[in-house]
Amino acid sequence: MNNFFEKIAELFSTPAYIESLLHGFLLTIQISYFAILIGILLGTIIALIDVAKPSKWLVIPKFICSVYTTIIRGTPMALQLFIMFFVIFAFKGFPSIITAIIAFGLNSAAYTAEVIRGGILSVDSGQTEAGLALGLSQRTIFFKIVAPQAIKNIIPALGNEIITVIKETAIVSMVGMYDLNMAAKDIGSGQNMASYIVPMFVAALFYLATIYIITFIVKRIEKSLRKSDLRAEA
Amino acid sequence: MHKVKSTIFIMLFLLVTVGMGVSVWWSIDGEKGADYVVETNVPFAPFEYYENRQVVGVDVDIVNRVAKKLDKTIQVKNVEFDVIIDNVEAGKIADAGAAGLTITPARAEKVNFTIPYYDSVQYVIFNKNMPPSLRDDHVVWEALADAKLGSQIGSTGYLFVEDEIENGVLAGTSTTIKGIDSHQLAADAILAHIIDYAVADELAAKFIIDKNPDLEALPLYYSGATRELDYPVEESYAIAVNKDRTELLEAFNEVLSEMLTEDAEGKTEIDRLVLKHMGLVNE
Amino acid sequence: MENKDTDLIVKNLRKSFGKNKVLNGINFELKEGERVVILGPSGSGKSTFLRCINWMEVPTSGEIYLDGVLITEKNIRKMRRNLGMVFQHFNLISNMTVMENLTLAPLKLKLMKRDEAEKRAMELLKHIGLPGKANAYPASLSGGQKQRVAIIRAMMLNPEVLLFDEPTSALDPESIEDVLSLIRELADRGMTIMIVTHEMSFAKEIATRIVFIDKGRIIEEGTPEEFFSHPKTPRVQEFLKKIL
Repeated sequence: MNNFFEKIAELFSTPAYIESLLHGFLLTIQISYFAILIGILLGTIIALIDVAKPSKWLVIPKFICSVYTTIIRGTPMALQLFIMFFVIFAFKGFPSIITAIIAFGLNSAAYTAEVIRGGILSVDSGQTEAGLALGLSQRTIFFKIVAPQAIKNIIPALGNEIITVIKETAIVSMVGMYDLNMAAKDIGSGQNMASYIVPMFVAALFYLATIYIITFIVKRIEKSLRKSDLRAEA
Repeated sequence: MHKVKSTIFIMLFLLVTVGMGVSVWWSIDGEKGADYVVETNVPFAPFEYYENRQVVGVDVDIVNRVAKKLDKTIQVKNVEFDVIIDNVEAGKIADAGAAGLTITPARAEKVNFTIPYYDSVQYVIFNKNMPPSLRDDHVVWEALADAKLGSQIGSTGYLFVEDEIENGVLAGTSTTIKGIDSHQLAADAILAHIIDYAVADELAAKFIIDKNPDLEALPLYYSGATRELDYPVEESYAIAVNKDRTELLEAFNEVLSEMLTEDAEGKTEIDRLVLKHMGLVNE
Repeated sequence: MENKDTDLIVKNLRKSFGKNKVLNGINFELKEGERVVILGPSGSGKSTFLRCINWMEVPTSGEIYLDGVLITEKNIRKMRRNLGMVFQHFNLISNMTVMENLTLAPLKLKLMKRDEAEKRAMELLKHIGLPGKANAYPASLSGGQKQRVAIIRAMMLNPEVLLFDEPTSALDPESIEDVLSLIRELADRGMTIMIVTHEMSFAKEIATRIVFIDKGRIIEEGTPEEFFSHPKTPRVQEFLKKIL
């Protein structure tokens, strides 16, 4: 155990190690950020197609969306990443960070779509009816009534999804990318500290801190969105 | 008030997105447009390891020499060890693999190998407090019988052990082999009592025991008729090249034979590079 | 009464949900100033009938005319402005304050300017005794308060007809009277009303005509006096026996 703390001290007092961790952390954040962005955009589109009233124009898009979410949610992320790297984007010189962003973005989109769909469907149908009875357009009803209420249900689950993506990006080290996880492996490798345990522990602290901050932000947003509920108690 | 808040939020969001975009753009910049791609698997010092997040090592030095000779750019890419041979065989994203690859018949069916450039011996890493039975300065296969072994998955050590368990010295014993992410993690697994011993290449093993006082490593031998006739578990490293890239294979072979020529002191350039990358150049 | 303009004509209205036929050809007329109470056993289709009039449920077949204009998919949004609706579960927009609920439609449909809409909303709120709740969210109102706000929300657009779908069914007994007296007041001012309710004494008191629906058809209609004292059909006699 003494050894453990000595090694922690060694890691934090070696600038090269800290630099490596920060570099790895940057890649983790880069991939996560854009993957989440793609996830939210694409996920919203999928969710909207999914909850839209059935019509002949939407038969094929609806089918595609359901196949898409089924496949993505039904297969492990690591396999999807491998397929992206070694089959779909198997071009020489294709930047791996873009491949990784797309792989995680497409994955996150399927889960985000479910989150958003659930959020929209959880809005009481009476709310839509009220809008209809007042002669409002579907557009107004969606943006003024359904969406604001759905967001309240969506935010907590979306926060979860963001956290999941950040942690899941750790598998990019499997395809040789220098993320936080790989930085820990590098620092733990033979010519450096020659023990994985301490650098892995420190990398875990980085993930933990990031996720703690995100949880904090999400809680704040949730709280401000709950205004219309809170007054009920007053 | 509400408007101001959302404006600030949108500005902040755009700022962060643009900033992240630029940073991604920078990291892409260094990656595109190489004539050849050579795949490797870090860390496997002294052949490939990270130095300031760049892959360096003996294999990288060899690749750079080939690039110079061909007057082409070659990108060295770090990937999972397991996929290198398949990727080189497919030739779509990789033209060659330089990762301390041992020549095996199965691999040779898929790719062309250059001439061997380094002979390595397999080592057994063990906890000093729980050593296997030793024969002076080495360990024989029989001493590993009924033990829980571990090795980097897909590495030669792993393949050797698998072979011996299936139809070799260890056949019929309850010996098991666990495929682990890297040699280093295999060493950590010994200390965590997940496995009893790890089997790794000589140099990797030496790096590991150098920094872990609780661990020791000794070469692995096949037992001969007498102790004196025991012989080591050897392997030869070569570079794997896609079967259609003959120009690349030739260039590698030319460079390697240059680098394997002994100088006045009886040392080859490869030897010197190994010493240099092990940090032993001044000793 | 005969010389008054006809507000609403329903011709051979049918509605089915999948294989389940709920309305089986309803013919109905509503004249200005009439107050029609729709009665019927549960599952008879009375609520569906009401909801078909403003196309909350899209009719499977049949025609509905409002002031002589056929309601179609194209004009339904405009028609709904003249067909105010009050729901059983109030359906106040939960993410908007009372004031926002009241001014939403007039502003979005560009029927009033903001200050005009807010002034009218405030007048109506004062009228129902809730001016202090203008900036409250629906969650902080009692059931009776919610329903009264819902009624004045429907009134904001000055509809020709008000449709009430069991407006007191979800209320506690104390609140019911508040809501009924507001409806009574609207009736006194000559509002044309269609109401589905289980409040028999209220029906008797307020209705100019009672319509009895069973199995998706109008079985009997008449003045409250005729209906409650001299029911013609055995089905209605049986119904009245059960509830009185």
